[in-house]
Amino acid sequence: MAHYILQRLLYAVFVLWGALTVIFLVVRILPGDPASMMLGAGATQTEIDALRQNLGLDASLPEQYVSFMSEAARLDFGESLWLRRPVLDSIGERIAATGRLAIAAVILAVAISFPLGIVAALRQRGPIDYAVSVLSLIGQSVPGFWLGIMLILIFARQLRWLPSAGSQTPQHLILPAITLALPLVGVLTRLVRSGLLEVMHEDYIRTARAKGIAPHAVLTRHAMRNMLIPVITVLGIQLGNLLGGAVIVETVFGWPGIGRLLVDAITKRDYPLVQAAILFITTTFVLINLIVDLSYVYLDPRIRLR
Amino acid sequence: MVGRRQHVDVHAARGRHLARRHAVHVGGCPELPATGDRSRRPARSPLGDGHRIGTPDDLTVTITCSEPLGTVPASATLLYITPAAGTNEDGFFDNPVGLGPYKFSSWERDSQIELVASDTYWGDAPAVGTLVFRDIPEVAAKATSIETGEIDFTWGLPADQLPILAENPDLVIDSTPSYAYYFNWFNSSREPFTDARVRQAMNYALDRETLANDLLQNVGVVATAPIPPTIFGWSEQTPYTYDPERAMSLLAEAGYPDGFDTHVIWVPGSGPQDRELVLSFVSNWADIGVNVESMEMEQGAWLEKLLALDWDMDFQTNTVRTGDADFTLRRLYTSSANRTGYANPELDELLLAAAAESDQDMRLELYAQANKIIWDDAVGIFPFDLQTNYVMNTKIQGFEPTPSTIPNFATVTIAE
Repeated sequence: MAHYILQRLLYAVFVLWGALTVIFLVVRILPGDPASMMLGAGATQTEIDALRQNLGLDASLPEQYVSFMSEAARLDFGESLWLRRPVLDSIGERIAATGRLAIAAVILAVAISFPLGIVAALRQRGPIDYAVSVLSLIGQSVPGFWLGIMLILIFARQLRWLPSAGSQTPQHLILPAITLALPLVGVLTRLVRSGLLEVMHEDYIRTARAKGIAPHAVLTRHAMRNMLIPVITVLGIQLGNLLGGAVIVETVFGWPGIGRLLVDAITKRDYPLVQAAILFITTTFVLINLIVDLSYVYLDPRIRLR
Repeated sequence: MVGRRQHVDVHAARGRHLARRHAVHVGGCPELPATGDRSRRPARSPLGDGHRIGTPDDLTVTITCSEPLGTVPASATLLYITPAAGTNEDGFFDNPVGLGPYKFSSWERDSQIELVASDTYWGDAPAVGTLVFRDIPEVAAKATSIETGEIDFTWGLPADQLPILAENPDLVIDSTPSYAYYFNWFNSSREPFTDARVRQAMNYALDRETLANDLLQNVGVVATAPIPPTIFGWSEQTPYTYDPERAMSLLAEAGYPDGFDTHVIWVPGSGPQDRELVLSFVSNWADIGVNVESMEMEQGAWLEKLLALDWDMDFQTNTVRTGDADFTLRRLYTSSANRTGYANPELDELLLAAAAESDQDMRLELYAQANKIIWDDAVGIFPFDLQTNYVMNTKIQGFEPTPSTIPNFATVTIAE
């Protein structure tokens, strides 16, 4: 187990190195550079060149790459060119807001999709099953920006039950969390339903029933556990996505998450901030994947990690 | 020379007082970042190259220009007074200090900033004790917030939101002229825009009145000069009234009886109803046989093209930050600035003379001539001046809008 984790962590270092290299090159390939963006439309070439030199952007690409990588290896990601403060401070501030939203959305999605999926599977081809299928399809297809604005118009503007935008109180969390959760509900409900249907026809379920185990115990102890692996996998990927920032929902609801920070940084060609934000997002993804893999062992004892 | 009030006290956030040494420098051009050598500043400055700023004693700032400059009073609005030790100390920008009626209290990035009334302000203390500025990027959410009373005051909402809000008895909408305007430049170094007749034809092709009434409503009005009337140096010009026939005959005279193909670059979000305006322009130009491709670009990509003069037409908003014509006209339209490929020695002379002149009446006369050349020679199309609309709760009283679009809350009271 320890050997497996170590191996995965080593592999993660390579993934992070690859991601950093790609983002290092991509931000520099984009037209426009930090100096011209900072000086704006009124700048002369002389001023731009002077600022480029000041920012260390006049060094050759290999030189910049070597210094960037050696600093990154020491976990020094430098200062944001625009915000004039360590990039890790800026990212640190957003993690809490992003995390709060992502976790609320995932909890909400699980709380809705599991009961729906189970009911649909147990009443296969019944009216509830069809209703759940239609609803989950809608959940998956509705675009986030539209859903967010509709929720604002209905629950904030018309009914005045909830605040429209911001992150100041727990009530502010509700609408953005629903907006993010709904597509997830769509995916998870379908997975839970189809996973359960498949498992319920297995021999061991028939055996369990034949032994006279109560139906709810058959469901929770024998069936559920065996259909969780694909669900956990998808949940892990989605949580990773959400922790990487949900820029559209953050913009619609004025939520101070990491997605808006990253988009601002890209627009302003703030190289250090873009690089560090991408590194954070990649790291989150790699770690979540690792946790998902480790959870398989617990869910299915037949899986052994080597 | 600028005197400072004796009894001012910089908000003692970290025990700083103006009596200690402070540095004075000029904004208007972006500052260099905290990293690296901050004593190096961009050479271009509204106070001219080679100016010196001194602080002979604790209450005086002196500005010495290397040549006569009539724009100093306007450009002095861009002066900042900062701690001499520098602003690159850790945390300076997290806890800014100032001399205004309000002082900084707290800041949650991308979410809100809170200001509280300063008890050391030299003027009358503001009636409203706390100001919270909330960041609400999405239009629907912003409009909802003002309607439901989550916020009391907002500005810059698009025109299509205003009629709905106007029906709300709890809200007041106020529209006021600003320093901002739209322009559509021609690259005068590229065929066919090297010919003034072509540029004029493009002007006559646009139905400004209809667009202002239908699209911009109360966020924009038809422009009357290359700069808005809120600016010192504005002078009213003969309007380019909508006249496709005349546009086509000008094109024919210039040797383009069948029109031509060209493009316009622009960045979405640069101003109100920008996409709708570009599409309407393209359709107006198509009517005179000019086929224009709308090139919607990302900010960085656009800026690179703009600065390299690698474009046919450029559509954008612009703001005359100091309220003085010099800030925009000399910066953008002299041959040495070379921002549009247009070069006219007569215009250069006028703009330089107007900057150097300290007799303000004389400056107005010089700018009147400069306005006329830029307008008649159609260096660009100057279609609309922008207004700022403020939407506020009826309990907000005593608000006085300014053309700078920097709202002043020091005079505001809240009715119970």
